[in-house]
Amino acid sequence: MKEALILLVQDNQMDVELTLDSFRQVGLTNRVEIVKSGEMALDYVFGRGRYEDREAFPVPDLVLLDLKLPGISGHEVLHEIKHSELTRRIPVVVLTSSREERDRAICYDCGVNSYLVKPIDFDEFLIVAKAIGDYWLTINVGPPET
Amino acid sequence: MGREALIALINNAALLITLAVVYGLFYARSSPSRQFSSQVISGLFLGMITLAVMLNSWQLAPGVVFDTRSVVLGLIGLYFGLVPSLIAASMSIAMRMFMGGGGTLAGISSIISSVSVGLLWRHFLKERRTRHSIVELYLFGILVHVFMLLCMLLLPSPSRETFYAVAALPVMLIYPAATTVVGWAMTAQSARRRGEIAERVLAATSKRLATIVKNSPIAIVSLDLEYRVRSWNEAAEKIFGWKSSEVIGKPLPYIPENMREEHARINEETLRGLSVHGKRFVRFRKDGSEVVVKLFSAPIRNEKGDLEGMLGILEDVTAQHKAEAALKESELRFRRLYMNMNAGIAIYKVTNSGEDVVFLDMNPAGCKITGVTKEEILGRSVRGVFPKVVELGLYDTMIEVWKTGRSKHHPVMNYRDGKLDLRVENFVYRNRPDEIVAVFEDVTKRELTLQELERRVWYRTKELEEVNKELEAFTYSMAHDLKAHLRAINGFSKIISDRYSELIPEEGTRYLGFILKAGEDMSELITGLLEYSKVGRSPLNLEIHSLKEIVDECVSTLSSRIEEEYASVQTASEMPNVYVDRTLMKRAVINLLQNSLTYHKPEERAAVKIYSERRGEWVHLIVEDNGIGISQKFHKRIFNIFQRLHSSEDFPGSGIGLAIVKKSITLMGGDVSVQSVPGEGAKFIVKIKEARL
Repeated sequence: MKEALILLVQDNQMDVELTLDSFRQVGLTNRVEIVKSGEMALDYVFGRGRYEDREAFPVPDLVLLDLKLPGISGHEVLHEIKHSELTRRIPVVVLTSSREERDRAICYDCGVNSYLVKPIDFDEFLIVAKAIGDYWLTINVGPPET
Repeated sequence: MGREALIALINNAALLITLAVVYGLFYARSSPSRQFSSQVISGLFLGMITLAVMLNSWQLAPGVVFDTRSVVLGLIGLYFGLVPSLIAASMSIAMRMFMGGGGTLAGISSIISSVSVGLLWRHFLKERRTRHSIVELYLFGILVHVFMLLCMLLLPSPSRETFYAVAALPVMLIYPAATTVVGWAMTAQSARRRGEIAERVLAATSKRLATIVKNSPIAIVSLDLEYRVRSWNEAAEKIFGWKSSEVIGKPLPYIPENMREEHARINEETLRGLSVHGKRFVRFRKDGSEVVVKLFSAPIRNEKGDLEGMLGILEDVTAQHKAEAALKESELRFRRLYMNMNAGIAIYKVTNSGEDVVFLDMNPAGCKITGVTKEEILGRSVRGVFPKVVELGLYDTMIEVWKTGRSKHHPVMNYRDGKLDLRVENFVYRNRPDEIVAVFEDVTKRELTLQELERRVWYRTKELEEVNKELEAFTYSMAHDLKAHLRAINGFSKIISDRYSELIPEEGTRYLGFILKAGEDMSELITGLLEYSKVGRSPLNLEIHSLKEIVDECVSTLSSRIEEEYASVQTASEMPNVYVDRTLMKRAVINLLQNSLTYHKPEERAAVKIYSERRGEWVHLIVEDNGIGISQKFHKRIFNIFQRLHSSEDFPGSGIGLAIVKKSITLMGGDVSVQSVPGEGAKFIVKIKEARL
């Protein structure tokens, strides 16, 4: 079985670094592709533009999606992914600072697979990172290959 | 003529004088309406005189007996009237018949003729019944005796011839003269009597008049030509306050000095015949108060027609004047209101028992609103002037009000015809059985203002919605961006302190700790602010909830913290139902509980009791702790946002928790307060509405 690929949609470089650092700390060594805007996220997921080459940029096994993104928002990215025949089976986990009811409602309405709130405290964040790896990449059985 | 005849003649003369005296005594006394009984009595008396006359006859010639009965009976007829004359005549006829003899027929007929002439003369000269001149009396005497001589034709022969030869001439010479003399005496008697009577009547009349003047409720005052008071009746005393003794012979007291001239002018005009007739004047009483009098004046002349003074009749009309003035003032006030008010008023008359409604009047505001003039609409039908009132229903409203008498509000209508386009609101009343009144207002402006207001409210609402959205965006940004930065601060600080601590001097590590602590505090602050801003953002949803259930849920939410801190929380087993928004109530209780868990004494574990008390329609939820307590002076302030009483080193906290409690409870119509003494714990009391089923 080939190693799972994570698509991390996150515009803030510091957040990216923290996330990657936490993954390393909890021993999550999977390939992580990083896109820094909603547009790029959609391009990647649908294999468009610079991500046309599916060999180089394969379909992700898990999308970690921030909601606050420049341009197209995380909600819209989620909506697009979950409303397309091609992509709706891809597990999408929202990883955000917002606990807002409205955000949660929209995401679940769109069919998000999981909604995680990023703790401010780094130690707690490490726990979340570990849980993501354990659950989504180990325990969870993904959709069938097409 | 013998001695006998002379005595008879003297007797006759005396009897004739008696007649005049009787007349004077009984008859000339009073007015013509004499009682029947007194007429009968005087008739009998007169009859007796006549009989006496007849008994004192004298013999003129053998067979010719003579007396003065014709004179007596003629005068009785003339002066005494029908009833006494008939009685006297009957008595003398009876007497003559009793005497008998050849001359009986002539005697009786002469009796009848004399009385008849007297009565007829009296009848035809009614006017001067008792005032006969000498000439008239003499003519009367001649007439009586001409008839008497004619009657003597009935004497049997030869007495008849003897009579005419001997007596005719003396009779015609003497008897009319005697009639004249006695008649004149009676007339004089009557005239004298009349004079006496007139005097008596005059005296009585003037006495009566004086009484009237004295007791008159109206002041009667007379002045002489120098305008000094000559008479002053009781009413004048009463009205003006001066006794007549104080004013007689002096100028009128109620005219103050400064009015003397005006008064003199009135007096002069009165004397010239230009009397005052009911004009009102202000005068002054003795006590100085004002009195309004109505004056009638007239000049007084003596018998010769010379001016003697003048009369003033004065009625106290002060009360009436005041009432009239008040009425006038009131009338004026309403008139002014009617003329100057902004609302239009139309007064209508309902004619032909409800067939039509015509204009009686319209105030200026009404004319201005409807653009008509009063003159052009008076008497015209409202349907003619404002044709659209029928289809707009106002006409029906008027008729309804007229029928029921109940006033009615006719709501704003848009009246449009060729000339007018306005929005009016009408209130219709019934003023009198056949009169209705419409009070109306041009609300065109008001309606436009209302529309404008609605438009503004709409815009303002939009703006507020925008602001609200912005606020949401703001809190959203707090949730994300601020937290993202905090996370970065916290994360990298941690990584540095974990991974590179050996490379950093001790001081650096300590500072790194400050950074971490600051980040944590700020994180807590942001969380609190977000929570606070959420309170009241969603619509209030007041429902009946079990207070016990809510409290228990809150306790269980915080159960891990309670366990960690070895705190104890006791809740009452029973609490009433309350009328609250569940989310807000929970938020309040949780924050109160957190507050109590936080501020415990350092050496003691927190012990919290939660229970409730019923107070009328309110429920007091009480959260009581054994903590450090709060000084009295901070009892109010602790519910303000960001208000902290302790340093964050001593007690962690953002100063938002109690503000959230206050805001939540206030939104639900309740209140929160605290009772506490420093060092002895605190008792927070939440007042909320009890839900009664």
